[in-house]
Amino acid sequence: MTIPLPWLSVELFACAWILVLLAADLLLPEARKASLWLWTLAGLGICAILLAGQAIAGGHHLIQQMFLVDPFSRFFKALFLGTAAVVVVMTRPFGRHLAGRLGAFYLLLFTAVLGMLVLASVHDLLMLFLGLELLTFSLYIMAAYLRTEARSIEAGMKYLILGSLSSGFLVYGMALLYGFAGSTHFEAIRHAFEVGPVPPIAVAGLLLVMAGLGFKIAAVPFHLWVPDVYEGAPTPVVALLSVGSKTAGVVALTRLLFGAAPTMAGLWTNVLAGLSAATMLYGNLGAIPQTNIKRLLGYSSIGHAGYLLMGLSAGSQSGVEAVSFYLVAYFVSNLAVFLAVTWAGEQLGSDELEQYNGLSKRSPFLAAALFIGFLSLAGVPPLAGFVGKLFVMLRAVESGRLWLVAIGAVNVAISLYYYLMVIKRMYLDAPPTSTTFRLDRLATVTLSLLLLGVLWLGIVQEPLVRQILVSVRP
Amino acid sequence: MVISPSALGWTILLSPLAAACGIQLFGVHRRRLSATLAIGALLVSFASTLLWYTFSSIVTWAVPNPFQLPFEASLSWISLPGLTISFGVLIDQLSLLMALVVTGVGSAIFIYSTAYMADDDAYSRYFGVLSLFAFSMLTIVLATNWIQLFMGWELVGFSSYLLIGHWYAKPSAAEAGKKAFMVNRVADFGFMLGILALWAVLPVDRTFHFQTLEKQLPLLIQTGVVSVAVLPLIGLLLFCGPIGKSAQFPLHVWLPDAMEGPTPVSALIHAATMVAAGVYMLCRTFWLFEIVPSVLTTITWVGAATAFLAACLALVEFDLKRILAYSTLSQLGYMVMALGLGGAVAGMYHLTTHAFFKALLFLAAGSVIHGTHEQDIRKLGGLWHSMRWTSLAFLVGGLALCGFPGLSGFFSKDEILVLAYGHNAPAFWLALVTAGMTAFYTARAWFIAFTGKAHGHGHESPPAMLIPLGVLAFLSIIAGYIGIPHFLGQHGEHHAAWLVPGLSIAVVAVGLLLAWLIYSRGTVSAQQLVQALALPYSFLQRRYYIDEIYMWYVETVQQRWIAGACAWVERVIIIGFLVNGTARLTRRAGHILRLWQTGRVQTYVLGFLLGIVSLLTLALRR
Repeated sequence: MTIPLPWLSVELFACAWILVLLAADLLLPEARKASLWLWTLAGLGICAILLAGQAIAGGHHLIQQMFLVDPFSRFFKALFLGTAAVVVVMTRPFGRHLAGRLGAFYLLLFTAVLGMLVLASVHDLLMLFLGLELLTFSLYIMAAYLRTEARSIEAGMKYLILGSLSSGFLVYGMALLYGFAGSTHFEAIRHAFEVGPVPPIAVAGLLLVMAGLGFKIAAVPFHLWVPDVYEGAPTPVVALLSVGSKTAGVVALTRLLFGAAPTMAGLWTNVLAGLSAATMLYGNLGAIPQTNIKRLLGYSSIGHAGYLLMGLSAGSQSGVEAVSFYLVAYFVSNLAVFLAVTWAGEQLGSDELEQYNGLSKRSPFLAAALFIGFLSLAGVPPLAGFVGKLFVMLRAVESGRLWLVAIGAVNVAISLYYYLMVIKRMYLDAPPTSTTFRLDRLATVTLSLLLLGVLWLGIVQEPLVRQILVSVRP
Repeated sequence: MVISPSALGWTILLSPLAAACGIQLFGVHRRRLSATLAIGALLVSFASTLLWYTFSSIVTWAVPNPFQLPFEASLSWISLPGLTISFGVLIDQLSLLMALVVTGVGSAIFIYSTAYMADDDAYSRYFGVLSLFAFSMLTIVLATNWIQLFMGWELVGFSSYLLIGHWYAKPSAAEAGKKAFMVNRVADFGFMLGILALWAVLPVDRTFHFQTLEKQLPLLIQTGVVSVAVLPLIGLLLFCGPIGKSAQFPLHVWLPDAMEGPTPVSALIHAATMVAAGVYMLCRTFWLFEIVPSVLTTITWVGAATAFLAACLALVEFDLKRILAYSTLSQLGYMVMALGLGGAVAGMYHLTTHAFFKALLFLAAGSVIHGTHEQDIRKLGGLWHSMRWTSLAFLVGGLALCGFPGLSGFFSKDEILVLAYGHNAPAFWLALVTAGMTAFYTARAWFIAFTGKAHGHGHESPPAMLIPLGVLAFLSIIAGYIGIPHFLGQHGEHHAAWLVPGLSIAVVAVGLLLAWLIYSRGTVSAQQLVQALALPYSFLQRRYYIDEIYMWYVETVQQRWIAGACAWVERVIIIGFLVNGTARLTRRAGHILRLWQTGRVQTYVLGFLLGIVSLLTLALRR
C-alpha cells in the first residue's frame, strides 16, 4: 500500500512536528524554552500552508477508505488550526504557571490538534475512535496540568473518569454496529442500514455512539462534567475544550450521521431535537446562578451545544451549512471571550465574577472585548452569533419543528440575562481597586482580529456562506 | 495606470467614512489631524467625482468607454431566498451632479469650518461627525436601491441630530436637535411604510433595486400585475420622506430651530445638501411618481404652499440665520413644486444653484456672526463699512436668491416659473408673488444689517473663511451659464414668451423697491406698517401657531393620555407580571438545576447512565 502524500501531508507533518517539539523540549536550554510557543505557531502555520496547498474538489479516500479528504474536512481543519493558534496566544500570559513543563504542554496541544485533524476526515469507526481518543487523552493531561492546584487535578480526574465511561459506551456502540454491518466502514454501515432490516440492537449501537460523541460536545444528559472541569482546568485548555473539542465532536457526529446512517434520519433527527431542547434549557438556566466566570462559560457552552444540535436535527445539507456557520461564529466569539478571560484571570488573580466589577475602568479594552463577545454569544445583531442563530433556527423552521425554534428563541432571552449580568458588573459596579492594566501587543492584535471577525460576520456573510456552500455540498 | 470605474465610484462613497472612523479612533485629541483627515477625505471624494465626470464625458471611438453612464457597481449585502439587498454605487448624470454639489460645496464649508470652529473645544468631534454626515449623504446620492437610500436617509438624520446639538450644553441646541430628529422620524415612518408597500405589491421576483424597478414597473402596470389603484397611496407614503427631510409644510418646524447648530452646519446640512435629499429622492425615483398624476398634484400644492407660507414668515423675522432658514424652506418649496409639475430637471437645476448661493449666504452670515457675535439684524448695521468682503459675498448670494437677472438663481427659478405657467396657473401666480416676497425680505435684511448706521464694530474674518466665500460667490454667478439642464438631459430650448421672465423681473423689482423705501429711505415707517397690520403680523410672528398645536398634541394627547395608559400597562402587566414573573421563574429553575451539580463523580456517572437508559428506552419503544 502506498500512501499518497499530498492528501495526508497535513497529518503527516503534524506527526513530524510533534517529534520536533519533543526534541526541542529535550535539547533546548531552559532559558530558551520560552520560545517554544513560536515553534508551535510555526508548526500550525506550516500545517495551514500544506492545507491550503491541497486545493481540491471532490473527495479522496485514503488508507483503505478509512480516511476521507474532501472540502468539508479541509474547512474544519482550517478552523481547528485557527483554534489551536489562538490557544497558543492564550498560553503566553499563562505560561508562568506551566514553568518547566511548557514544552510538554505544547506537545500535547499538537497531539490534540492531530486528533482533531483526524476527526475531520473520519470515514470509519476505527478512525473515529482513534481521533477521538488522541484528542481526549491530550485533554485529560492538559486539564490536570496545574499539578499544584487541587482544582486542576480534580478537573483532570473527573474528566478522565467520565471520559472513560463515555468511551466505553462509544466502543460498545461501535461493536454493536460492527456486529450489524460486518464492517467498521461508514459506507458498509450505510449500506446495511439501507438494505435493512434494522434490528433494535443496531439502533442501540447508533445511539450509544451518539451518546459518546454527545459527551464530547457537552449535550444533556452527557454534560455533567462540564462545569467542574471548566472551572478547574487551565483557561487555555478550557478554550480548547470549548471550541476545538466541541467542534470536533460536531464534525464527527455529522460525518457519522450523514455518512453512515442517512436512512435512519427519521430516528436521529428526533433524538437530536429532543437533546437539543434539553441542552439549551439546561445550559442557559444553569448559567444564571453562577458566580465563577469559567463555570458560567461552561454552562453557556452547553447552551451553544443545544443550538448546534438544533441545526443538525434539521437532518439536511442546509442544516449542516447552518451549523458550519454557527461554528465559525462561535469560534470567533467564544475565543475572543476566552482570550479576554485568560488575561483578566491573570491580572485579577481569580476567575470569580466579583473580581470583574468595574472592569471597564481598569481595562476598557478588555471590558469592551467581553462586551462584544458576550453579545455575540447571546445572539444580538449585528454580530456573528446572531447570524449563526438565525441560520440554525431557519433550518429548524424548514424541518417543521416550530416548538424547538420557540425554545431556542426563549433561550436567547435567558442567555442574554446572564451575559448582561456580567456586563453590568463590568460597566456599572464599582471596581474593588483602581489599578489599571493593559494587554500585551500580541494579545491585543489577536483579540482585535477576533472581534473584527465577530463584527464582520455579523454584517457581511456572503463570502463565508459561499465558502461553506462549496465545502459542505456533496 | 488604469483606473477602474468601480474603484473610483467606491472612493467617492467610502473616503469620508474612512475619515470619520480615523477621526474617532485616532483624532479625538488631535485637532489638526482630524481637520486634515476630514478635509482631505472630502477633497479626495470631490476629485474622484470630478474624474468620473471627466472620464464619462470623453468620447472614445475605438473602444467602448468603461466610464459609460449610467454605471453601477454593487456588493450583495443580504441574500435570502426572495430577498436580496445590495449596497453599491449608482453613477448617472443625476447622482454625478448631486455628488459634485455635495462634495464641492462640502469641501468649501469644511475649509471654512477650520476657522469658524477654531476656538471650539469639541473640534475633533465636530469634524468626525461632519465626515460621517458626508458619507451618509453620499450613501443617499449613490444609492442603488431603496434600502441603501433609507439607510443613508436615517444616517443623515442621525448625524444632523449630532451636529444641531453640537453645543449640547446649551438647552436650546439640545432641544433643537431632538426636535429635528423626532420630526424626521415621524416622516420617515411613512417613508418606510411606502418602501415596504412598494415592495409588497410587486409580484414574485420582488426587488428594491432602482434600475430594475424603473424598467419593470411600467410593464407590470400595463399587464395589470400591479394595480394602479394602490400606487397613489404608495406615492403619498413615499412623499412623507421628502416632507420631513426637505422640511415641507406642515413638518417644516424643525428647520428654523436647527439654526441652533454651528453656522457652517446650517450651510452644509440645512441649506445645501441634507434638506435637498428629499428633492433628490423624488428625482431619483421620478419614474414612480410620473405615473400617478394625483400624487404629483399633491406634491405641487405642498411645494407651492411651503414656498409661499415660509416666505411670509421670513418677512417678520429678525434673526439673520432664521431669515435664511425660512428662505431655504421657501426655495425647497419651489423645487418640490417643480417636481410636482413634472420638471425633474428644473427641480435639480434649482437645487444646484440654490446649494451654491444659499451656502454662500449662510457662510456670509456665519462670517458676520464670527465678526460681531450678533445675529439679530436690529442690532447689526453698517457692516458694509467694517466687513467689506463678507458684505459683498452676501450681496451676490442675496441677489442670486432674489432672482436678479444674470445670476444663477434667476435662470433656475425662471425654469420653474415657466413650467408652472404652462401647467398650473394658480400655482404660477402663487410662485410669482413668492418671488416678489423673496426679493423683499432679502433686501430688508440687507438694508437693515449691512447698510445703515453701524452699531459697534465688527472685524473682517480670516482668509480661511473668505476664500470659500469667494469660490461660492463665483459659482453663484456662473452656475446659470454652464449648461446644467443640458447635462441632466433636457434637450431643446425652452422658448417661453418674454412674459414669464418679464413678470418675474417686475415683481423682483417691486419687492426690492418696497424694501428700499421702507428700510433704507424710511419713506414708509416700518413701525406704522406693523401697527396697521397688527393681526396678520402677530399671526406670522407666532408662526401660524403650528408649534403650539404640535406642543399641545405632544404634551396633552401623547404624553398625558396615550403615554399614561401605556405606562400603566407596562408597569403593572408587563413588568410586574410578565417580566418579573418569568424572571423569578427562570431564576428558580436555575437554582433547582444546580442541585444536580453536586461535584461528586458518582452523581455524574449516575446521570450519564440514566441518560443512556432513557434514550434507549424512548428510541426502542415500539
